[in-house]
Amino acid sequence: MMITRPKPISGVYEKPFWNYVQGRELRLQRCDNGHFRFPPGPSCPKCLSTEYDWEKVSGEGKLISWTVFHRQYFPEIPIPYTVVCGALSEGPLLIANLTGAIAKPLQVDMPLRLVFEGAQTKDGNWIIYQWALANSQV
Amino acid sequence: MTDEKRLLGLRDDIAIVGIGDTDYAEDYVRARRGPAYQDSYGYAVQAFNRALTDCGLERDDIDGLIVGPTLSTERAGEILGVNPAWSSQADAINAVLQGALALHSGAAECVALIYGNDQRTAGTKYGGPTARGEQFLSYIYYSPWGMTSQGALYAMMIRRYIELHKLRAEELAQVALAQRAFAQLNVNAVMQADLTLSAYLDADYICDPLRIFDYCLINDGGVALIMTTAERARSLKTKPVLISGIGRSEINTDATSLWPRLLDFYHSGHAKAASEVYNMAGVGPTDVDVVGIYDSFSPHVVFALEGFDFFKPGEFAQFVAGGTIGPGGRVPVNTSGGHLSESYMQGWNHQVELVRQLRGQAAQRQVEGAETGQYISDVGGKVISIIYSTSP
Repeated sequence: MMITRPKPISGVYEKPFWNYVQGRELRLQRCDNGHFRFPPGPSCPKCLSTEYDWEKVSGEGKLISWTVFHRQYFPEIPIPYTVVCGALSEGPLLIANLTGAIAKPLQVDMPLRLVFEGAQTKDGNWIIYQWALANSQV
Repeated sequence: MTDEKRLLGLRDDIAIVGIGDTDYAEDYVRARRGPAYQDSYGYAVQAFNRALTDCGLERDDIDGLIVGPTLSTERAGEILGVNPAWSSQADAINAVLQGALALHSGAAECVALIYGNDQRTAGTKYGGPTARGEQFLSYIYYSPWGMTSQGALYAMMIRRYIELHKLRAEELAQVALAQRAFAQLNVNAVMQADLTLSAYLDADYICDPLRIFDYCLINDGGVALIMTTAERARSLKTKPVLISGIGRSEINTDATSLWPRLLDFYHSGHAKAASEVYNMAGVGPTDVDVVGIYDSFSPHVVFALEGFDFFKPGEFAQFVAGGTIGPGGRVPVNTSGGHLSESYMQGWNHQVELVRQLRGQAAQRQVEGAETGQYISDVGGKVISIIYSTSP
């Protein structure tokens, strides 16, 4: 069964980002000096360059931290649910849920991989990205 | 770069002379019971009148006005009948800094800082689909995954700390327990009921590992402070509480992706602000008699004390053992009960409490002989600290 979620915010800079995600690809802006940035924005915080490409990332990461929600803030999302912060090997940190089997207690620095999952929103179906433990089945 | 030599000219030059707060415990009951009887401006006026009475200045002496984020300078000035030479809007700690800068520069001679918040009556939400902040704030940005509320961000911060330093729930609990113990010595605190370790551990999680007692209250109330020059303060009836040191540092790089929170615990900002505030005041953490920390969630206290060198990195558990931060402890923190147990006045009530402690007016919770107080705030990566003292 498809999960239900609040619709992602998709402003002027996020639109291409989410369009790629709909094609099950995670691409981040990378400036002409090679710096990745996240979230999407008008210029590179490192060098102020406004030239960039949307570069596909490896999808590999490691676990930075997590929390388990026991209070329901969104009617669409049943509790409890786990939100994790993972560091992409390219640098930026990404928030997502932890999906798939969780066989052992979570530990800082566990290897993660990005996966894609369909979600129903009030404005139709979206693909969102999620973290999974690197060696788990999803 | 901060010019520490020039900043030294501000040391002990400006004082807080008037304090006023509303009846938080009663405000809480009335706001829950309804119907609404006053709004944010009403609470602010009540506190302002008390602050004037406290220091003996007249309304017409006020020529500078700083309002908190829920008020406008124009409407507040209209209601108070104040047409200031200089005005501004700021959160608690920035308001004190701006007041000091305005007074030191000569832009004003008596500045009133006023705050009122009807957040309980108004049903303000700090998480979920109606939380303020829009897209630039990460906890809204991350909504597809249900990531919302500042509390959840602090849950993630302290989770990483717990994993790195093996902090136990019983040890984190000491923050909530110590502040509740102080609140029980404060007749104006909203939460004065007994809180035991087992009740803390049995409480529901909001965002694991944070339980409800790690979260601040949402309640109505108001606070006012009146500041003037140390010179003018000498002619007033209250004991002036001087601003002896200030330190400030903002960490914005990669903030939306949570890097400064989760991988730095804001410690790079803490380090710069700590160096500035301690150098300017000519004191160190061991000289501080009483501490105020912005504590919308208990982990603030862990990170702030660590970042300002009250203990070695990772050693909160050892530091807090034996009641260090509670009544009678070596480093008393948030002695009114703070946001967790006194009132969620967004840092404003902490300034009132530090002034009371340094004047020796903190009743049963008075820290014996308190002469040096420190406030630390690191909300959203804006690390700011002030050292207050009574003896220049």
